[in-house]
Parts: sequence; structure tokens; C-alpha cells
Amino acid sequence: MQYNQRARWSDQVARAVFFLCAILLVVIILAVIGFISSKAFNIFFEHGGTNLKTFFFTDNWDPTGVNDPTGNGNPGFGAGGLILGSLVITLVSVLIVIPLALGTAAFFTEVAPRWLVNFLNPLIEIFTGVPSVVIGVLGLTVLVPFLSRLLTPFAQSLGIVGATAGFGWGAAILVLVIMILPTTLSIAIDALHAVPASVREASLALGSTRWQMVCKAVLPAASSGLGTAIVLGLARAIGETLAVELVLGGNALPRNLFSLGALFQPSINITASIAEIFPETSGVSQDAYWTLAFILLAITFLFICISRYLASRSVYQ
Amino acid sequence: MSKRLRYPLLAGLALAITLLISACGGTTTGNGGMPTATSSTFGTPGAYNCVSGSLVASGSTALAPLVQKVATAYQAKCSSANITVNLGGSKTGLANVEAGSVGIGNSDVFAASTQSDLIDHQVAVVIFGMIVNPKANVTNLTTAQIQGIYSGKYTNWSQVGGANLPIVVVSRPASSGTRATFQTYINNGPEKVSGPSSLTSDSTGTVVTEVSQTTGAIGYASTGPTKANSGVTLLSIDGVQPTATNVESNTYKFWNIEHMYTKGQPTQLEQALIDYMASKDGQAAAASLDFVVLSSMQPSAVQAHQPQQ
Repeated sequence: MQYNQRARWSDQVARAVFFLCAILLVVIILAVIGFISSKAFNIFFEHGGTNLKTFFFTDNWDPTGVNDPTGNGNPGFGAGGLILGSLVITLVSVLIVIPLALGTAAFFTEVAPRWLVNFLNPLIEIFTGVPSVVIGVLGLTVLVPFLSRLLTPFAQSLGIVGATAGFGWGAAILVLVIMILPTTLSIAIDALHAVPASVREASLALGSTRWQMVCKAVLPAASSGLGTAIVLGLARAIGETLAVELVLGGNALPRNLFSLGALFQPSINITASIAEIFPETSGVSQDAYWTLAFILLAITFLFICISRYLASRSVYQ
Repeated sequence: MSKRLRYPLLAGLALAITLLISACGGTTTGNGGMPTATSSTFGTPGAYNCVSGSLVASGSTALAPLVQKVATAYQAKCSSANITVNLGGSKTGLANVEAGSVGIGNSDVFAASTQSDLIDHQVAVVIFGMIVNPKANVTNLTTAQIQGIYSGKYTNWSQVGGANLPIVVVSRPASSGTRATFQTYINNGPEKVSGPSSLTSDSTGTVVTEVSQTTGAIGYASTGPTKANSGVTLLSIDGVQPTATNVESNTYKFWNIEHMYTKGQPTQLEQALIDYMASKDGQAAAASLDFVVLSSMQPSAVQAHQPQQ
């Protein structure tokens, strides 16, 4: 073939291959969502199931009926406590990580000297790759006893038991902050690097201080990238299973839910329950777990929509 | 050499070295990373039958160390076999072998009556014990006291003869065979504790860790990992120590038969592993990990632990 025809033909082939890859990705995501959705609503319609109100607003989660006080094996389908647990630890850990990640990213791009950046970049990447089970075991053997010792003098006033104060949502939040900070940080750094120099120069030329430039010009300009960083951190936080399961250590919601002590009692969340009990379930009890999985997907989707909306209100479209 | 050749040559050299290292290094092991055992701890070599293939066993966290040790020794002798041992709890193992996702389900409890196509191979007896944090200052509890603790009746160690510390109860989730054994033979019913003094952990090892580092904690676990950890105290129940002799006569009641279930007749590799568990090497491994050999149990003891029909 002539050179021109060959170039055009390879162009078409490349386009077709990339299109297939994109289609493959979309198909996989849609297939997973479709499969989980197809099983998620069975629990509300089948014999031996439950209704929406019981599922979302009561707190007795026992689909295999093993803890039934009457001994009949009647299952309990109240997932309200699990959902509350997941929401609390995800939201609080993301709230803690946002200022930390943004501040560190601003430091990296604006203020830090070159040698420090070169030294810290590989460290962040290593940190991103640490397996969650390692952090979980570190949490169980180091963080939990430390928190217990720290809180034992305040146990009476908080209404908790000093020996178990290290378990629960408090420890889970700390573990999650450690897990999602490097992910959020590296994407935030990339987002800030992508802001064109003209934005910074214009801001400084108009007489702003360095702090004003970062706060009012650079961060808003990078808002869609920062939104992505926060969304990915959030998605990792809500799906985190092993690290959180080892430090939560409970089987029911804490008592006195609206006090500070609720963060320092053994507690529950969705992913720990799925990890511990889902593999052995079958039939109606397994359908309850599919519904929980669907709820995890739905919560993630909801948070993504909110972050995207907030990021889209940026000045620079 | 020219610059164009340099990089492909370096890459090719790196690849060749990697292949060389992976070909010469270590024999194949079940869970890549675990060292193959030398047979110096075993007695007279037992009979074994080398079958090639791969096998996954999953289930009980109490039986897993024994299956792992025997599997590692088997693979050291038969390098064409590839055996992996996973955890998950007894009921998870039973569900997995019923669904066909694993070849052998390890379980501390008998399979449910609905799982009628599973064939039972009883391999050893596991001794369970109540473990407490040393700060609680007890060495013996009666069955009634244990039931009181796990129903929430006793909340301070001073009520059962220990130090003045709140009791923290460590338990296992519903899929655990250890918990099922505890509820049948010691607690005579389901556990009823809840609240900030009760913890739930996923496996035998986590229970031991939590009891050793939480002041005033009590839990139950198999005695093998417990004896290896000096941070917990192993209790005697009703004055009876958890030794093999007491288990053989059923004076000490907190034990259970370990099962390896297969779906239908076992394949050749599964049968080879089960036979090797019963051989001299397997029995020596069982004794070293604090299991009791099934053949030395008194028949009345075994009868007492069959499922009540």
C-alpha cells in the first residue's frame, strides 16, 4: 500500500481498538451494577423477607437467625445501624482528610523546595500501595491499646468501658484517614500542578499575597480535579473492609448514640458485616447481603454526584 | 555497542535473570510465601501417596494450622501437588465445599442435615479453652460462672474471684464452629452479651490478640495458638485442666471432632491428603500443635459429641 493509505488504515485500527477498550470498561461496570441491582430488591418481595421501614430504620441485624433470643432462628433484617456506622466513619474521615490533603498539596506545589518534593513523592507513592490488611493489623496491635490507655481516665465521664475504648468508630476513622490520605493527596497534587501558570501570575500581578493567590485563585481553578481527589478518597473509605473490620470489633450499635462516647465503643458497619457473614449465607439471608452491597454502591454514587456538583460550580469551566 | 541495541539487551538480560531465579529458587508451596517444613520434627516417616494436582481447603480457623502443617509436609515430599488452605470459619468452609468452590471444607462442627451430599472425614480432636487476660487474676472458673459471664450476669472479675476489673467478653461471629461448640457444650444456649464490654473477632488468632492486650478480657479459642502466646492465661473449667488425657475421657468437655468434608467421594489428591493426616507424620503434627489423635479417644467420649438426633 502507499504510505498515505497505510497511515489512514492504522488510524482506523487504533481508533477501533481504543473504542473497544472503552466499551469493555463500560460493559464491566454496568454488568456489576446490573447484577447487584437484580438481586438487591428480592428481600422486599419474597417470603421470609422484610419491608423497607424495618430494613432501613431498625437496628437488629441477624439474617441467619443465630442470635434470636427466642431460639427459633427468626432472622432480623434491621440494617439501620450498619448504614449509620458506614456513613459516620466515611464522612468524618473524609472531613478530616480534606483540609489535610489540600493543605499538603498546596505546600507541595507552592512552597516546598525542589529537593523536599523529590524526596517526598516516592514516599507518598509507597504509602498509597500499603495493603489495607497491614494497616488493619497495625491498628489492632498498636492503635487500639494506645487509644484504650489514653481514654481509660475519661471512661466514667464518657460512659464507656476503658478496656474497649480503643475499638469502634474512633479507631476506624483514624485508620481510614491513614488509608485515604495518600490517594487523595497524590491526585490533589496533580490537580494543582495542572493549573496554568497564567492563573498564578495574574493573581500576583493584581497584588494578592501568596496565601490569597493559593486560596482564592489556584484552589478554585483546580476544583474539578480536587473534586475527583475527594471522590476517590471517599469511595475508598466507604469500601474499606479489612482494616476497619479488625478495629471495629463489635456486633451492635453503641449505646448512647448521640454522645462523644459512641465513637469509643465496639461497633459495626456494612463492610465488616459482609466480610464476616456473607460467605456462609444462602437463600433469603444472602439476598439481604446483596441489598447491603447495593446500598454501598448507592451511597458511593450519591457522594460522587454531590462532589461533582460542588466541583462544577468552579469559575473556570 | 550501539545505543539502539543497549536497552533491549538490558531488558532481555533482566528477564533472563528473573527466569533463572524463579526456576532455581524454592519448591512450589501452597500459599507462596510459607517456608516448606523440613521433616526433622516428625517421627518415623509415614506412608504417603503422591498425587499431582491442586487443591484448595477452607473453613475452620482452629483446624487450619494442622491442615497447613500437614499440607506443607506433603508438598515437601510431593512437589507436583499444590495445596492451599484458606480460613473463613467452619460454616463458611461447609458452604464453600457445598457450592463446589473448594475441594475440602474444614469444620469444627457436623454439617447441617440439609447438606446431605457432603462426606465426613474425621481427622483429629481439637481442644478449646477459655482464655483470660492475666490482669483478671483467675486460673479456674466453673461452668455456671462462665454461663453467668456470657449472659451478662457477672460484670466484674471480683464477682467470680478475680481482681476488681470490669469483664470484657470476646466472642466470635455466627459462622464460627468454635462459637457453636462453646454454645453447645459449655454455655448450654446462645450467648446474650451486648454493649460496650463485648467484642466480636473474626478468627482464633484475633481472639488471642485481643484477649492478650485488652485488660480484663475473656474469650474462647483452640489451645494450640493459646499456648504459643504467653500473654494470656488458659483456664481450667470446673477444676479440670485442658489436657489430652482429660479430653480422651471426656472429663474436660470443651472439645470437638475436626472434620474435613468433601462433596461426594474425594478426588485422589483429597484422599491422599486425608490419608496423610491419619498417618504417623500427620499424627505427630497433630500432637505438636496440641490436637488429640482420634484413635486414642474413648468411644463413650466420641459418642457424647455426636449430634443429637
